[in-house]
Amino acid sequence: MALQKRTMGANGEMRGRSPTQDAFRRLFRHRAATVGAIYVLLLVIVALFVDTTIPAAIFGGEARPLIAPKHFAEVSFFERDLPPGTPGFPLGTDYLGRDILSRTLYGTRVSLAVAIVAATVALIVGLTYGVISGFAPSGVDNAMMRFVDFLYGFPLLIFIILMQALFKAVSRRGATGFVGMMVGIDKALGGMFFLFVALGILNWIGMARLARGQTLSVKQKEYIESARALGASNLRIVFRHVLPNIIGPCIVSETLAIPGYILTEAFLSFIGLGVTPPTPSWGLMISETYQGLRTYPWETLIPGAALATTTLAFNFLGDGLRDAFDPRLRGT
Amino acid sequence: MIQYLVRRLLWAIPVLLAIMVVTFFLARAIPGGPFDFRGDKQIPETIRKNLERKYGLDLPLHQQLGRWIWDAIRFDFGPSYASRSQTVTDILKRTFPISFQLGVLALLFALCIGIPMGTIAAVKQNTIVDYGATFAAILGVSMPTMVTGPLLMWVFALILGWLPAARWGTDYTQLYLGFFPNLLSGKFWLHAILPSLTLGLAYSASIARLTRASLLQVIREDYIRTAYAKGLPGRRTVILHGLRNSLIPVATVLGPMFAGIVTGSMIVEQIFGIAGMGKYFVTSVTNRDYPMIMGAVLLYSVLLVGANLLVDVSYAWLDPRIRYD
Repeated sequence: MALQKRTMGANGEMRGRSPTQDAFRRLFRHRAATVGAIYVLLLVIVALFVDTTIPAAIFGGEARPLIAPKHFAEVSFFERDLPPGTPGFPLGTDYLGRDILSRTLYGTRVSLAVAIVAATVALIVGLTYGVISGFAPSGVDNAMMRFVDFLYGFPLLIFIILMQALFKAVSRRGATGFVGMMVGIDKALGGMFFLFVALGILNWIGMARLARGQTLSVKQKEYIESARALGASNLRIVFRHVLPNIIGPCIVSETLAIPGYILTEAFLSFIGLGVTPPTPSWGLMISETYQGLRTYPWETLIPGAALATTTLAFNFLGDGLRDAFDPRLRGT
Repeated sequence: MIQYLVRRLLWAIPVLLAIMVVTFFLARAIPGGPFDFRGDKQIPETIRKNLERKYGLDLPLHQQLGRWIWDAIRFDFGPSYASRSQTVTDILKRTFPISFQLGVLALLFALCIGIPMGTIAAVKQNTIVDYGATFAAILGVSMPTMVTGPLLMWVFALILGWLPAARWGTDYTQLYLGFFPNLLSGKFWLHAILPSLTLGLAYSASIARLTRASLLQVIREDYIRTAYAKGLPGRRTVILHGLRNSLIPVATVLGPMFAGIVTGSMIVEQIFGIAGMGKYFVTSVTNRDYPMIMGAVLLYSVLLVGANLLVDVSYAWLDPRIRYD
């Protein structure tokens, strides 16, 4: 950003703050957003260190539970359906005697991984598509946008369901070659890999529209004109001048989309097309237990609370980011 | 306007065709067929071959696709493979009205809670009322139906015992013209409250947020100041002049929202044990029940396209400046 705001420092010298710095100052003055950010940070720590997968991958050895008291699939026939507060099981056990606290903590991993990977894929694909479309000659631009309009009429969730059904069936049957490699990765990740693919492939449409609109408006600015007059190539203009100026709103909009990805993952796991059991996902935990709500309400309500607080934290953070990066939209 | 409508309807045809083609190939790409039973239910190879021939599954794919599209245009999807005594059209006729009632009631709940809440928050901007409403809205947006459903059921049906915990109040045999419930029956309403509230709550929250934001912008416009200057009472100004114009962004999201409600009903139907369409769709995917998948997807897509069209038409009504030529 070339333009900087000038403010007078305490002892009279001029010092500059970039708009990004301004935005972060505004973000941390936003109390709810700060709380949301801290909660998200905690969730990330839990997701990374819920067991010792990462140290084990680097230094070798077995992955053992670290933050979680037990492994998520440790069943115990004589300790089924225990209420919260039972010694050894702070949040009780489910219908197979698995520790609910551990499963809820492990569930963070699936939710966050799916949300972050899907958001990143959507951001990269949508941004590329949108910027190309914004810079292309109007005929190409028109064709690219008609294609996006066309996809917009599709019932996306239904296609995600069908794709997941396809992926799961392929994975059950087993495959060879490239597909076999993907099935292998998916099995290693407990069924998360195909969720990344299905969610990422289909959710870039809104981002493409936003990125194209932003590109078109930035393209008219004088600094692009002057860069062009200085003989900068298209590629340089895109990377030096356009991308830095449009990335903010795009990241904000993708942050606001994250709760949607978390809920889609929970939805797919609920209807049995998400992660592979016994990998714990909050949606799967709810779907396994809601029929016993009358007798064992905690088995459903605890993963539900985890799901709701996580989406709440991301919503707070997204709102704060939007207010910070675009003060005109404050409070919307 | 008429020209615009015709153009939009014509545009819907390639979209729907493409949806059908993609659905067909996706459904077919899923390994395993509708008659691949395992274990005790396994049927001999020759019988399976005969069954597949009977339903035209042995034809080349492009012929099947052509037949399928031709049948679908006449809304005849043939028998469901999973329960061969009934056709897909029968199943849809029985289950779709119930899902539709659930969806419409949820949308009504959402509008009746969301718009007043957003209006009050905007009028009392930066007061404790506003902060409370805004917080409630963000909480509502964050609670998925699979959390609110069990929670509401647990509190109101199981602990307090005020409302029935499951099922829909009317059977498909009691529907007028096969579609409309008896609105005077108390049983219908008692059963309807919890599921439609569950489904509508999240949407009411986002409607409230949108209403508040756009009303705040509208209130600052010159014509509102003019209305005040003419001496109109405050409440009338806000509601008559402000609210109508601030509903345009709300109308924009109603199209996608309706689609979300229809698909979101899958979860609510499962939790509350309602025999709606969402449940059938999910089982049809796992059963490789191709006709049922095609029928349900087509119906969902028609609904989505129709909802988007309705939204675009409603702009012209809400904002007379918008003209479609």
